[in-house]
Amino acid sequence: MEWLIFGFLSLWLLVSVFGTLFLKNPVHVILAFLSVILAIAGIFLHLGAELLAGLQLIIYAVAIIVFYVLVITTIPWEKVKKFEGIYKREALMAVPFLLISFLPIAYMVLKGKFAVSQKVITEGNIQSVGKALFTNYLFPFEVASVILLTAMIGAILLGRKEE
Amino acid sequence: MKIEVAYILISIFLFLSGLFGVIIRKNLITLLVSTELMLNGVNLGLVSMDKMVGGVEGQVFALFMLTVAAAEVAVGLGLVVAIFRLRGYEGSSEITQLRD
Amino acid sequence: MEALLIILFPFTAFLLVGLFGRRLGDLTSAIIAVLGSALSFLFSIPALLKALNSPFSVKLYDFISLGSYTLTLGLYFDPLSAITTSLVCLVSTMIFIYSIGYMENLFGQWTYKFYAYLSFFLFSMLLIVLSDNLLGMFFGWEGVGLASYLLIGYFHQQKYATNSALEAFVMNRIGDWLFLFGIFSIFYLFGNLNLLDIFSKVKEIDPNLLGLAVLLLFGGAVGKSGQVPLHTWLPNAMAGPTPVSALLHSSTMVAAGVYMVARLYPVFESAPQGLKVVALIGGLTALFASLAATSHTDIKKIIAFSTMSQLGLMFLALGIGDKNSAMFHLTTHAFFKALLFLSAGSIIHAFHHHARDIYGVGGLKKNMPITYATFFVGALALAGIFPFAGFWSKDLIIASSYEADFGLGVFVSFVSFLTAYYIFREGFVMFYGPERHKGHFEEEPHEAPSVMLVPMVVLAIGSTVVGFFEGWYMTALKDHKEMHLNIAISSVVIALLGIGLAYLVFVKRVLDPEKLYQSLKPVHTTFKEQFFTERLYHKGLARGYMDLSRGLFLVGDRFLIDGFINLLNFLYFRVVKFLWIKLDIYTVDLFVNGVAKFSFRFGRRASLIQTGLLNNYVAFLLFGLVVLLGIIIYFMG
Repeated sequence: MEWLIFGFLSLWLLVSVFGTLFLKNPVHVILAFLSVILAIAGIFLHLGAELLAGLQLIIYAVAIIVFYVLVITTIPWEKVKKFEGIYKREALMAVPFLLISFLPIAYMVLKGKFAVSQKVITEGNIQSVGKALFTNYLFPFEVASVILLTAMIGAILLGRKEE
Repeated sequence: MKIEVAYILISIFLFLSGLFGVIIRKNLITLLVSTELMLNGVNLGLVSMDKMVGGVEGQVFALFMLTVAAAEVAVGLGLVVAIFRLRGYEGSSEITQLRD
Repeated sequence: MEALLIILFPFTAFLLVGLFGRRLGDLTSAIIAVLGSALSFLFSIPALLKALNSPFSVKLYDFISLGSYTLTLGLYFDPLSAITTSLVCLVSTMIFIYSIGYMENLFGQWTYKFYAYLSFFLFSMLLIVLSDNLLGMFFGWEGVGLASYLLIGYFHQQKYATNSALEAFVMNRIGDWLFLFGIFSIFYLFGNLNLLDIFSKVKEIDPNLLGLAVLLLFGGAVGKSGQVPLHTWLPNAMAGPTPVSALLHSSTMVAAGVYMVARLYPVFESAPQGLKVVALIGGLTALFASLAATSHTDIKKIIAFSTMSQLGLMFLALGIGDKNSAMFHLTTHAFFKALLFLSAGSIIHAFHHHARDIYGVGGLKKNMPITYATFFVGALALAGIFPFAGFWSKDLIIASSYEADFGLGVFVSFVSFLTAYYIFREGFVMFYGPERHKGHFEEEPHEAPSVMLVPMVVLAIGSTVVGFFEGWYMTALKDHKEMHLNIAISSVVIALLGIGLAYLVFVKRVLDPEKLYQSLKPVHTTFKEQFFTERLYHKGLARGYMDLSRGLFLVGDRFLIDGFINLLNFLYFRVVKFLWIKLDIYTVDLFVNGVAKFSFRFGRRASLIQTGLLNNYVAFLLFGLVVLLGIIIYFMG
């Protein structure tokens, strides 16, 4: 049963990834990406990270995709057309390296021993995540908000028109 | 093989695909999309590790990464807009020179 | 102390005249020289009287210590050396006085040099005579050689004079070289150079080795006394002024050779083969020189050959064992030979130094009576006529030679016959006969000034009287000589025959000398050319040596050495150029330029990596990631 879900979700993911990589039209690429996000959210749910799945959907599928679409619409179509597609040469160059990097890691992962789980999760996922977030990792949490602030300022600065 | 291990393999694949996309994409926007793909792959890996080992640290970290990804998209897209305004194009081949 | 003064007087005179002569002037210098010589003579008399009974030594100083032996300078007075000293000083004084008159026309032209040289000569001669070891004798030996060179070449503007001086010096040097080796051998054999020590040890040395040393020493005497084969310098030495010929080359310097043999007689006696060689060379020279004298016509050369011949007789006497006869003959010879030279000088002076040949003058008997008288006194003494001095000394030698060997006696008698003939030939030609000089000289030749005549007269008296001192002389030298009446009479007869022959030929013209000369021309030429020895030496040895040098220079120096150097030069440049091309251009430059070019090209190629394309940079990141992965895997095993 698990493997079935796994297979379905993985297949969805794979197809979307191929779409992201090889589609020409940027709008199509963004749509494919959206599909990837959804697939990943599904995987999160399968893995029992409910909070994260929800957050993924909210942040990625809503905020980030909207960002991309917004930017795409500011660019005139003709200009975008020139830069569609991929670099063939670089693709050929990179494939062997990718393979070289994937295979050993995969090998290590398969052959390696992982640590055995120590804790027993009694509460629900959201509770435990929330608890960890607000007690152990409070500082990074605050820092994350500062990052967001900085990014906002940066984006505004970058985006304004030069008068 | 456990499910989590398979998911780890998937995550590695996702990461490398994102990297591949960064290498081959001409359009800046689609390049940034591939970057997001990489981040997602890492998130996936973290969460599946989390499931294997127990504890919630992985998910917390993935949460932070999510936040940072959002910020980074904002900034990156701001850059793309600025480039478009300057050059009129948005191809990565247009920004090869440091100066004219 | 007084003995030291004998040597010091001439030496002081030499220093004074040599250093201050220019300021003192020529006449003053001459007087100083005369004084030096005269005072030496005066001081030699008491030394002589003392030495007759007890020979004594005077140590001067030690100057080099060689560990086992110390080199010293010292004087030794025994009858032999003391008598010779007095003789030398007396004759020198007479000749110095004479030279004041002879050189007067040269006064004002730095003639003080002449007197400096003469004083130096006297000092060196006394050193030879009086020195008590072989080293001092050698110093004196060299000194007289030097003085001879300086004095023969005194008229240095004449090329003939300078050549003769050089010839004299070189031949003397050859003799000196042999003498030096003789001294080395003596030192090697005896370990000592002192005469008395040598005499005491002479019996202990192997006669054969001693014979070798003796021959080397005699070689020195041969060079110094002008014996065959080192003889050609003596006739040519007549190029010097007449006082020089009179002093050096007749009575004193050339006598040094005889004196040296007599001095070292104990050594010579112990090596009988050496003595035989001495006698042989002496006899040969005596005959050779007399034959040459019969054919020469130069005024002074005839007398020079006569000197050579008489010295030969002295060496003969030494060789047959009779040292005392030889020394007595040396003593008498000094007187009459100096007298003959001074008379000849008087004639030369009368013609203002233009007379050279006996056939250039004639009939001087009436113009120069005193010179005529003194010349004939000397000639009679040389011929050995009673009662003149030569009779006594030559008689002794003839007697000894008859005692040694009858044939030897006949030989010596023949030589005396020739001696009488040639000296009277010269006398008759010059003083009798037609006045051949009339056409060439305007003024009449006049007698010499008294400053020249007085020494001549003194020497003439000496030539007459000294012979009677024979008995005293022999007693002084611890010897006794018998007078053999038959030998005495026969020697006088032979001498008279010689005189008679000369008289007949040259005065009475019984046999015409011209016709005789024509018929005997080849014989005459052979005698005159000294059996061609002079030709041999001058043309053969000297010229041959010069040619050899020139040949060696051309071949060795020019061709070989210069050629070699030039070749090296050429090769060096070639090699350097080649190396430069190969090393510099091909390797170093190539390397350096190559590095630069390579850097450029590589840089240009490498700069292609920087595309500026973002995608490429990410690809490089991937590559780096792979590398890191590899490293991690490798290290993680």
